[in-house]
Amino acid sequence: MDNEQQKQGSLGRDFLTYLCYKSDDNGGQFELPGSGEQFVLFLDRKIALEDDQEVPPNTVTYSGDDFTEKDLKQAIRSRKKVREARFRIDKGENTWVFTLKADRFEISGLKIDMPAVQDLDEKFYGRIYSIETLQSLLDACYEQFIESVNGKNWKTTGYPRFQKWLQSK
Amino acid sequence: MGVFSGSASYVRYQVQGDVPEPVKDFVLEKLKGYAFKEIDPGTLSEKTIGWVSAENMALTRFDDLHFAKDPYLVFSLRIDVRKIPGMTMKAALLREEMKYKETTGQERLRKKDKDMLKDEVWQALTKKTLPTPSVYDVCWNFQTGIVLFFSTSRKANEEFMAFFHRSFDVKLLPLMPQALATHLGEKNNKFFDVSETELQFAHG
Repeated sequence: MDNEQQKQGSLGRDFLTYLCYKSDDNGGQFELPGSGEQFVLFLDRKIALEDDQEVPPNTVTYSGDDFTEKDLKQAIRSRKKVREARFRIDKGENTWVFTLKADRFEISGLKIDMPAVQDLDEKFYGRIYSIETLQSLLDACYEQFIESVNGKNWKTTGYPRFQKWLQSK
Repeated sequence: MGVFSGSASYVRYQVQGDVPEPVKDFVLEKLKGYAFKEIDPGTLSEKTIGWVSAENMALTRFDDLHFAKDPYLVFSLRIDVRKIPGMTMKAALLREEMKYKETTGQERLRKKDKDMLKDEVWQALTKKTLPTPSVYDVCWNFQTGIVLFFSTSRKANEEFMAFFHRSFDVKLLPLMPQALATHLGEKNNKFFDVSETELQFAHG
């Protein structure tokens, strides 16, 4: 990884780590700015964390039901950040399950629940609407992350709360 | 696995620069000009790249605006590669070397002869090898300038960015963490400075 990629990757990994923290600490509740619409985001049984300061990078991967928030906290305490994770978002009657990779913000394995339709245009518009809605939710989370961490309350409230969560058993 | 069916995997891009109006006509002309062309079996071409219909990868002619689904433009990138399997090449080369030694009476081949045989074998096998197609869907929202490329393969994304630029004369910016922060800031009339975010997240 060159310096630029590493810089991009670090920011992306901080964001995914923040998402995992919020999904546990806050019951996964997020709110869209402006409309106030709510949605729930949580980890879906698959995560890879990495300490990229070590050579070669020290990676730990969890999948399945055995993985708990204790494993997550332990990994973050040992300087690892989330490199990729499978998330689930529930908003109203809609659900998205996908893997988000931190370094390039790639989405993979997104399952799109759609009623079976024959018309190609109908199928296309249904799928692209679902993808764009997901992206707007993720963008809202990313904005919340940037504003929260760069905001004046992070030092006094946000960071201590994050640390309290991290150190809790 | 892309824009019409299956699970979706994609990378998001932002088009940089202006696309001439009317956008659909401009894109139609470019899709025609850079449409996919099959590898001619009689040639030694190893690779070909071009645009095809997202609805049918064999449809390589753009005669109408079927790819326009307002406000999206939907088409696919097709890359055909003719690659000789390593062991096939090795077996054929060893066979030709044995034949050559028998014919010339030489016990050991000179480098020049080895290279000549290698080239001959490569040419013969390349002409016989069928191309393997790869197809990746593209969905371009021409109102927002956001492009989705339905593959997360680094190589495919690099080829896509370069070919998109060549075809439409505009560059694509991958919406990676820093670029996405800038994009969201511009979209919402805010300024997101993320230069200290990592430090603040880790140390408060």
